[in-house]
Amino acid sequence: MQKKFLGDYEFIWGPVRKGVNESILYEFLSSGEELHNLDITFGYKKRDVRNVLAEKGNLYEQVLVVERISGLHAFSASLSYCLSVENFFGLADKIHKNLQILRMFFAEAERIRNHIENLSEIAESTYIQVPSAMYAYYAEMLKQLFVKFLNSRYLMGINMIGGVRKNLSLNDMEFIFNSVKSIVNSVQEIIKKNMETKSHIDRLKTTGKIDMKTAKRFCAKGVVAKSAGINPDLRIKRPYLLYGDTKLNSIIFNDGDAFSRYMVRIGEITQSLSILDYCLEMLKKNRFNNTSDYFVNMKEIDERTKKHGFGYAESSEGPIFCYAADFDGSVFKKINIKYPFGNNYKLFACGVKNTMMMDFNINETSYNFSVAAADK
Amino acid sequence: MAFWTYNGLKFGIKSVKFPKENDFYDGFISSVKINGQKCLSQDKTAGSPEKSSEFQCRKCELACPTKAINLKNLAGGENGKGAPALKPLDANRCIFCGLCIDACSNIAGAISYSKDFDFGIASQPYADKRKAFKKSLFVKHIDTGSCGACEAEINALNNPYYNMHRLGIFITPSPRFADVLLVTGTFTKKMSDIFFNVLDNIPKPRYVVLTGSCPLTGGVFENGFKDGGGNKGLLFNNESEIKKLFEEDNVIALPHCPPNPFEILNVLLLIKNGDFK
Ligand code: SF4
Ligand code: SF4
Repeated sequence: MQKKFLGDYEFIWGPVRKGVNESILYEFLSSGEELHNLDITFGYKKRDVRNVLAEKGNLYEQVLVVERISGLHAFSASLSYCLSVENFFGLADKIHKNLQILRMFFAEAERIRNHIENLSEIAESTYIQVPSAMYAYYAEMLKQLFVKFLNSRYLMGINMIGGVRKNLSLNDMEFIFNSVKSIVNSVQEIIKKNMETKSHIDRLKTTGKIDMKTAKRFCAKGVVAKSAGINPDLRIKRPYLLYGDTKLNSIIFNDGDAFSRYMVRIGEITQSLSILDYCLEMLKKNRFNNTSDYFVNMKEIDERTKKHGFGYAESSEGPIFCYAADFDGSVFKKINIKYPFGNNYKLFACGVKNTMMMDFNINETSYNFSVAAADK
Repeated sequence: MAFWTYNGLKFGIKSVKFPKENDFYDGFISSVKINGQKCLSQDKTAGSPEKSSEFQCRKCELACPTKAINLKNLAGGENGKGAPALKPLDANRCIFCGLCIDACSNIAGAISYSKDFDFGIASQPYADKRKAFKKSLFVKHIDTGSCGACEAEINALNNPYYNMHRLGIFITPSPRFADVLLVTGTFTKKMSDIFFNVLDNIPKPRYVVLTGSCPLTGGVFENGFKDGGGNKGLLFNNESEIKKLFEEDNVIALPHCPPNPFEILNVLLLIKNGDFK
């Protein structure tokens, strides 16, 4: 704890907080309005994922666990794991282009869903309930769309080593794209109206401001970094799958406040929709017929190749890295997965100093943390 | 805020009619079912299925990552005559991965997703059917090591589609006002004391709903920690405090990974209306 001055008092919040939240402990030092210090304690939800993974019986069971480290980033995490395993087995070049496109498609769909959900939470944190409910409604529509075609509202069980597990046809993909497009169009209408809601925008502007230097010092990731003028987006910096062909622009804002983070999310929703469009065009061009036509022949696996495999994927909140080693014939005994939240939490604890207590909720929501991923 | 009030009204009512009607969305699934007639696991030519020990096909059993399927129970299960039989598919373990469905699809097509609600109920003290809560139901949530998806599903109950407020169900920040405790997560050691602390502050009559595979059996995280502890969930936990919880409290098991909002809402409504025995 930081040094206390006359009139300062400490109070704790957590690990069980109000509403429906994940368990984490915040210890504040405040003089009433202003927050002087924040200590964050993790570890309440530690499931010891590393050992759980090592005890699994086959590679797909490991995928199921990886997906559930943080359920809201299930697809990106499993993608990162699958890419690292495919890298280990020398399968990376053997995955058919169409399967890579499908993976891009769902990764972007997950990003759109997470951003829309965050817009809903941000609107709620500034006490404008109507747009918050509308965003939440459209996020729900997306989840219902996913369950219809993929049997999972959180895009679990789609990735597998060597491709995509669900059977999808071009018609299915076209239907999914058109539905996502109409949902995003509706969301953009709300965003437009929300931009004119002064009480909403004013509360976001200058809230939770961080400068580029601090962001760099803490190695900020994802949306948080992009809001402070840094672009660490792996889809652009080190393209994987077929992101290299998409010619993405960096979405960068420089103010480092909650409003910039909000704007990055809005920009990414539009960008992701254009990637979905690109994916569908490519599927049509490549005469995609059915997922099952492109499964990798697992006999082609080259077991001699490497000591370890490495993969990464850019989730809605930043990069997820996966390192897999010690293959014992059925599973990898050593798997390291790194989510972006560890760094962002440190930056958050630093950036929250000398901000207003009233803005704490808005500030925290704009980071869109997953405690589960930080606390695995 | 007249602008948003107007826009809200223009947006219209989007809520489902559930529970008045089962107007689930397209593609809604809420359980996995095995059709005993189609299943090839038992040698039906060798007399009565109960006597047969020959298992011709066990593909689904072997595919299931959480050991939820036990085909031996099929004889006394849905199609057999045996009294309260164990189910061939233990819903408390099922995480909805669909591997069994894939495994069977090219063999007999005996397993499929279904719309039927399916959950076990372990609640004793109120033997007679009684309505414990008169008007509204207040729910407290505690996360004991979840992945965040279960929380997202509980939060979804607030969106205009499910809109649990219309049914008189509310999330409360304080355990002292709560009637129901929704537990998510694998019940980590560090959260155990905190859980009992929260529970002690909830006045009786109260219900504890174990939400998702994690608090039931540990779900995909089952048998974690090598040295002590472990993600075992609560159902098969032998610790005295937990055994006492099952004896003294109304504990309801709500499986799946994650359980979808309709399932959660259904359980809360059953509690509210006093339909749990
Ligand atoms: S859906 Fe998955 S967890 Fe459930 S019974 Fe089938 S294989 Fe087991
Ligand atoms: S039951 Fe499944 S969805 Fe729910 S917290 Fe556990 S792993 Fe996540």
